[in-house]
Amino acid sequence: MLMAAPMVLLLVTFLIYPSAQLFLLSFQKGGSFSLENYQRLLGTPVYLTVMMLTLKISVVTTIFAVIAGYPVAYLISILPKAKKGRILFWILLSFWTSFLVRAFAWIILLGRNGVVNKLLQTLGITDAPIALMYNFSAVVIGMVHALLPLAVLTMLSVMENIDRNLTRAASTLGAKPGMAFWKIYFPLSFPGVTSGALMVFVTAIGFFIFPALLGGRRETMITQIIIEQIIQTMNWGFASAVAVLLLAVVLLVFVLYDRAVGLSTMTGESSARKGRPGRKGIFSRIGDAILTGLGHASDAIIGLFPRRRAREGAPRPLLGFVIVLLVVMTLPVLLMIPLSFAESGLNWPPQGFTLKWYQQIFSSPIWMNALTRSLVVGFSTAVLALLIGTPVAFLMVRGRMRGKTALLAFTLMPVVMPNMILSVGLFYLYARIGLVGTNLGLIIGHTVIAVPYVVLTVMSVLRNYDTRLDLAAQSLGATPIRTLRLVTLPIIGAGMLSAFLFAFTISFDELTIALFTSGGMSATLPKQLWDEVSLSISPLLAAVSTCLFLFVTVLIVAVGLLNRRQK
Amino acid sequence: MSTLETQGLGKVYGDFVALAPTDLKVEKGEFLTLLGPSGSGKTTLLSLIAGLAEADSGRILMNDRDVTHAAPYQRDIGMMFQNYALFPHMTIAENIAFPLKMRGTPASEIRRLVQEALDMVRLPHIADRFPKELSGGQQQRVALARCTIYRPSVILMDEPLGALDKKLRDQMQFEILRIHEEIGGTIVYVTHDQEEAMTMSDRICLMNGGRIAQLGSPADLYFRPQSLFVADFLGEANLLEGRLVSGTDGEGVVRLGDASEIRVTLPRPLGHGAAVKVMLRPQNIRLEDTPGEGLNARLRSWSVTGASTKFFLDAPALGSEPLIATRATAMSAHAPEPGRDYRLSFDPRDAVAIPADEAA
Repeated sequence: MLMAAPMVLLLVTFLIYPSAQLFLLSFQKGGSFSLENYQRLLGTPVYLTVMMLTLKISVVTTIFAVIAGYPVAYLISILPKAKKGRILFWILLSFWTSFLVRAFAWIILLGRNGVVNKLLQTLGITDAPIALMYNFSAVVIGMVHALLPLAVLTMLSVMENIDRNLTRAASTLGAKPGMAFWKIYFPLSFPGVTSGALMVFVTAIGFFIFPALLGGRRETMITQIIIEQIIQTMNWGFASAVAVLLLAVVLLVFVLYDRAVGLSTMTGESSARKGRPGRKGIFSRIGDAILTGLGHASDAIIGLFPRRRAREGAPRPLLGFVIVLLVVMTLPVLLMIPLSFAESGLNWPPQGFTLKWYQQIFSSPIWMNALTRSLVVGFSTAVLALLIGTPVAFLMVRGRMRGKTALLAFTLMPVVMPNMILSVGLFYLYARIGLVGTNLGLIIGHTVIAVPYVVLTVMSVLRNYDTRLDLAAQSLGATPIRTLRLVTLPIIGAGMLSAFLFAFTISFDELTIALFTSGGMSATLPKQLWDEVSLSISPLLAAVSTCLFLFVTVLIVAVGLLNRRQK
Repeated sequence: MSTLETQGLGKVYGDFVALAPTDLKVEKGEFLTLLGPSGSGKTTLLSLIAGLAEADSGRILMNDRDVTHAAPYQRDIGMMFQNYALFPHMTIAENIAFPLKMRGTPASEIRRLVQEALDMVRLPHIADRFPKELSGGQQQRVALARCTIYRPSVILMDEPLGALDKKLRDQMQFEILRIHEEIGGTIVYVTHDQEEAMTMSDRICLMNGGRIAQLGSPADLYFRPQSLFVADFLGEANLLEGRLVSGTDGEGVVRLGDASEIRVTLPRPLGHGAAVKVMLRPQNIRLEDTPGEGLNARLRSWSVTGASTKFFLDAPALGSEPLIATRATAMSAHAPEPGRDYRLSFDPRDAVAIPADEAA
């Protein structure tokens, strides 16, 4: 139990305590108990409108991300190992490219003189530039684009565990491809769909970057209210009430999810229902009938086309769809790169070639400070998160104790809780203990976010590790310490390094905490970028974004090579 | 009429010939086993017949219909997978009903057939359970019920007993044979377990390196192996080096290394002077307690393996490898002294000459 102590201490002090503090603050006005904040929140139509719009944007984003992500995840799950890695690389690249960089890319893309407008005019669809930005669609496009990788990866974790022999078996038993998919594969992949939807929804509901940069005045989401209340009016009580409402919605979604499908599906555990003898309910019979109908319909459509002879490998139309989607996922950021070298500003097509924007960055003390700070904070966060998270992972995988599920749930709290709430809570706490604007404050905050990912990554590494190797080493005369040094660590080393890079990237990209607790000369790179984007869009920012993107690319490639060497 | 026939059927993965062009005929109602070491092509052949892999050459005929390029669901087959492949989200009844539903069988008929099938595999009361709640042996029976309920003309089984322990395996072998008899279908069965193949099959198709090494009844393969590979793969065998000095079809004489001559069986005609190996099964070698004329050997060691006792003997005539002979374990013949000499004798019908130059 001692192994989990540092993490428990960290989360209690810097997650639970500040959140509880916010909870209390929300019920205060002028130092005494009051419901005024909630009365104002629930009594002002504009806030209710924002809440409804937040839900609407999140739901629409979730639906699109899951529907578009499903074929991608499906394709990856059926491809042979080598090809799988290639497609997964592009997904991971998008996944790890910061939201801010991707939002910025869309600004350039959808701008008056952006690629899309230029394309529409060249094709003769429009005569003059049209307003593509600052509306509902732009926000949803940006958010779907941002969260599609998350949807894919979550669904993939379930699909990878579906035995491919099952659809083959269905085929030998007389099921046509459409029927085999809808009656066998789809029901088995459904837990992936629901957990993917859940992850996308709870992430989307806490977004502020996309509505702030791509939305108009009407597209305000709930986290923007919190930022506004803190930064502009310092109204802690009201901001806390909004945060509590946001948390309540997220928790409600989790509870409903647990009731409907069960949270255990989240960890990729077996999706089969536990025994429920007796007749099936009306819902499952309706579901079954719908799936049968879909099966017949798909087979009728497939029947219209000549059958391909080679049944091995992925179906062509699916492959085509996924490739188009991958291009759309990657292209916005790639289109931004040439503009960072252009003399023509952010207008498409780029003209001329110049390095002046990069020179400006590297000669600017503000940007260089921000870069140094981000690197220092990222590195420290990764070290700290690994030191705190690894023992917990060992405990979860190797330890024999009760309450593992509870400990895992506790560990995952920072994932569940919207970052905005954590950030506001930390800001309030730091303000009193003098950690605002310090590296230490940032490092602690980022470690809170990164620890769950480190625990999960190291756990998966340890699960694949055959503990009999340890026993073998010890039976051959190695002491436990030497066993760890000579056998265990060399084998799980690459996995640990992945966890390290994982934590580093999380910190390096993190904006929400940095938004409040860093500023001026103590800004991190994302914070500096955010401040500048909010003020004006310039090619300089394209250059910064390009640097960030390339940095992440290098990290992803490094992790990929590590894992390959491991195998 | 053969239910299943392959003509020059072949499969290549890159440079690797998984299955060289192969001709095979399976008769109606037959139990044919594809036996061989891993990588011998037996699973490839099964996958091609099932339609789970696409043939690169040749044809597959089922009941004289060309199904080479037909999808699995268009072939009249049933398949039992190694890991059972029961649908985890469906109850046992739904699993067994699946192929009937796919064929549009009326619901009332389905209910009756499913119950019949469950009775047949002796699991009448588990219809509403899920696969996870069953033991390995029970899942096995359900898988068997599922792939036989619609009476496909060919039932394919891919090492279906591989995951079971020895005792359960023996039981299931019997069970599969019983059901085969009851429903009378044609079965193509894949295994790498030679004992299982010999117990169950009408014919064994022994495969090696993507080709059929020998096709015949278990007794054929056991008593009249046509190659060293077959002799070695099925049961234990002593292989004595020598040259054929005389003999026509059926019988002959082989001169061994020390110039002694023995009478042998020739399963196929061989030229005089051909290098051969003479296969002698351990249980067919009689150990006479008094040395004398003919082959003599000295006891190196022995071990009791259960019902039989293995004797390891040195015979200079037979090369450096020890000769193995078995005797029924009995107190009267127990614990002989190493170093003692025996005379070896055997029936010429049990000494089979196989050409030695043939690659294993």
